[in-house]
Amino acid sequence: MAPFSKRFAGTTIRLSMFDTAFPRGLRGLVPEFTELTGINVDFELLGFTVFLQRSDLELSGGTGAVDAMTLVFAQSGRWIGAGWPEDLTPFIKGSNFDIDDLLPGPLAAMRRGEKIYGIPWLADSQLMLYRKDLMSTPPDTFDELLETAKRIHSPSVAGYMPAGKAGLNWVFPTFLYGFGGKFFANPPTDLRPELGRPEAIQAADYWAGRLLRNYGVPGSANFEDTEGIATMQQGRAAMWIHSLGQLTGALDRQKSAVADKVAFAAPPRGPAGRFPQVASHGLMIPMASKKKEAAWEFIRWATSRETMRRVALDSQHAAVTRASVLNDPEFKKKYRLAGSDVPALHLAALTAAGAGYMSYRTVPEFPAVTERVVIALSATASGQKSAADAMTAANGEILRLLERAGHKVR
Amino acid sequence: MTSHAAYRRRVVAILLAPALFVLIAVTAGPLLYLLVTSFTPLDLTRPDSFRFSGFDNYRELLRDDRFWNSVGVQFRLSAATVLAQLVLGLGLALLLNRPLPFREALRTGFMVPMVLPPIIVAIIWKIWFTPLLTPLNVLTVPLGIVQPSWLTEPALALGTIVLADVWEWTPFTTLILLAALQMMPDEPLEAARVDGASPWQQFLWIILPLLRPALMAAGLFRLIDSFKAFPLIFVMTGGGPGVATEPTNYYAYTQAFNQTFIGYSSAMIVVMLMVTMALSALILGLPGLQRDAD
Repeated sequence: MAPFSKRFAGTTIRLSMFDTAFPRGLRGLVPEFTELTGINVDFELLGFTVFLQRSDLELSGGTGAVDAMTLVFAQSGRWIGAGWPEDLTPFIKGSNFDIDDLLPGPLAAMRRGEKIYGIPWLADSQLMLYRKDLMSTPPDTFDELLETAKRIHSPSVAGYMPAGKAGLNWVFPTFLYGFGGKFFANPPTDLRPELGRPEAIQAADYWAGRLLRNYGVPGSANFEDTEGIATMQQGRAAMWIHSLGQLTGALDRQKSAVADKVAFAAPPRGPAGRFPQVASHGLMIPMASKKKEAAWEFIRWATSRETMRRVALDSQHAAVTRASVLNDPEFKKKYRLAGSDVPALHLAALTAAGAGYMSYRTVPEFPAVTERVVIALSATASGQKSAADAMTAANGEILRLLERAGHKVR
Repeated sequence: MTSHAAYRRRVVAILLAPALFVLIAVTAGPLLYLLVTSFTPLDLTRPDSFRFSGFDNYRELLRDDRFWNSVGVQFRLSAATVLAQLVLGLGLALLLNRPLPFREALRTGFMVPMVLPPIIVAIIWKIWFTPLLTPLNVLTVPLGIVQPSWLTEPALALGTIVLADVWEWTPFTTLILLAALQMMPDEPLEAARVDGASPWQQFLWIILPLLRPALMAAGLFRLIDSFKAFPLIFVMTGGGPGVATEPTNYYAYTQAFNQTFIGYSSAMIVVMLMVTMALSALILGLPGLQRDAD
């Protein structure tokens, strides 16, 4: 990779990312970047939901107020479709960036043919965090999960820790596909929604109607990820299925009361199999930015092998995207946590997803679809509607939504 | 001197014109844009969607269950908050109208909720209703009481919003009613007392009718403001659980800013605007708003 220079010394770029392990670790290293290049970085770290709202506003308004930002997996279809991220291929070639070290799976979501619109820094997989002091073996099937949660659930320790609104959006698909259901018939071409079918209803009933409703942490339906991590750190939940990037928060020895009592496992499997969700978030440059070259200098530094390796070793970012870091002996040593080989679980999830079941998530209309599903699940989890009523109603709304977007779904 | 008067009128008009122009541009411009986009399926991620589609959005609204749910939520929210604020405001105003010790300090103290920035009020109440963090735990934990999850229980969530809203805005109705009480003439009350009317009768037949214009003014203000309830919902419940606390303006907000469906959201807002204007016209036209001394 081309060396760094002080060509852009004195420029200030604005960076906007949502709060998770990697940006947290990266922020501490930014002064080194400024020393290396003379570029100042105005680093903004936001909660996930707020980040999404602000990003949509910024990108659609095209104000150029942000120079580099996170490219969110579930929005990548929508944002790239709208032409909002800058094509990074000329920058990659011009600086000899070692793009081949990046895992192909995560990169695929940001690629359209020859053009690359983002550099992935997170190849997030879904894992299950569990308290090994409360159970001898983690549950492996959906039935075992429900039984274990029921057995452990008490006022002081909830059987299960739902991941708030983010969880309804991100973890439900594991159960939807595990029961044999799906979002669309055959994305990205056939977008007929299948959320009113028996498998989908069964998944919603199991996940929201029974697990969340009866064994969840009280009030967690409203939680942002930070509150979920805090709850886990305080030892108030026995199990949590979420992104590796968020789960590792429970390992923070300074803040977590249960850092030594947790272990990792693969998410449980249902009758139709195991479908751990994977996502890749990256760094992109908005089309409207006026400091693209300086922004690229930051991006190639932040996603470089050295920086990624350091962030992984110094903080809790295990969901790396570089093959070289995943295979690094020190990385492997750090993330082998008593009984759980996290890198192996992580790689297993990424490999499983190679089968293609994640293709639903990059459909441009997916954000609007998942909003309706989240509402249906929330209504089910709070007992307002039965799973059947909620999902059938949601499916009807989604049908009309997709039609208005111009798809032939009937 | 008609020609001089006409000259003056012209000068005034010319001097006012720039200000008027700016005012119209700033208010009418966005309104016009709102109206125009309500007739398009505008989605900011699809530039080709700025095209005329007639009343499609409005027809879709009629079929949209989530929209009708939001209307129901708005109705319940407005009814509960306006009623509570009027009743409580009246009670407080009557209390504060008496010669109390530290009356000035009390009055100032009661005004505090109203002058706090709404987002602060929302955060305060969110903490209050979050079982993990709430100061209420000081009472409930030693007694072994398990608090319900206020903000995520469908039966309770809207109630928490109403409570926070009433706490925040009752000082407003109190102020208006207190001012009206202090301007009330003493003679009718004196006469009634001399005639042997009980305090309750005095209240029902003299004070209340004289307060009617103030009550209607306060009620109308609060009604129109209740349509704008946003910070509380955004911070405390996000419209949830499900859509149990999602009034129409919040639904419109999510469509416009979470989903960039500007066209659909505009249609919703236009409908809200028309309903608000109709309601205001209705209430302003009601008899009793004029100060008639009967």
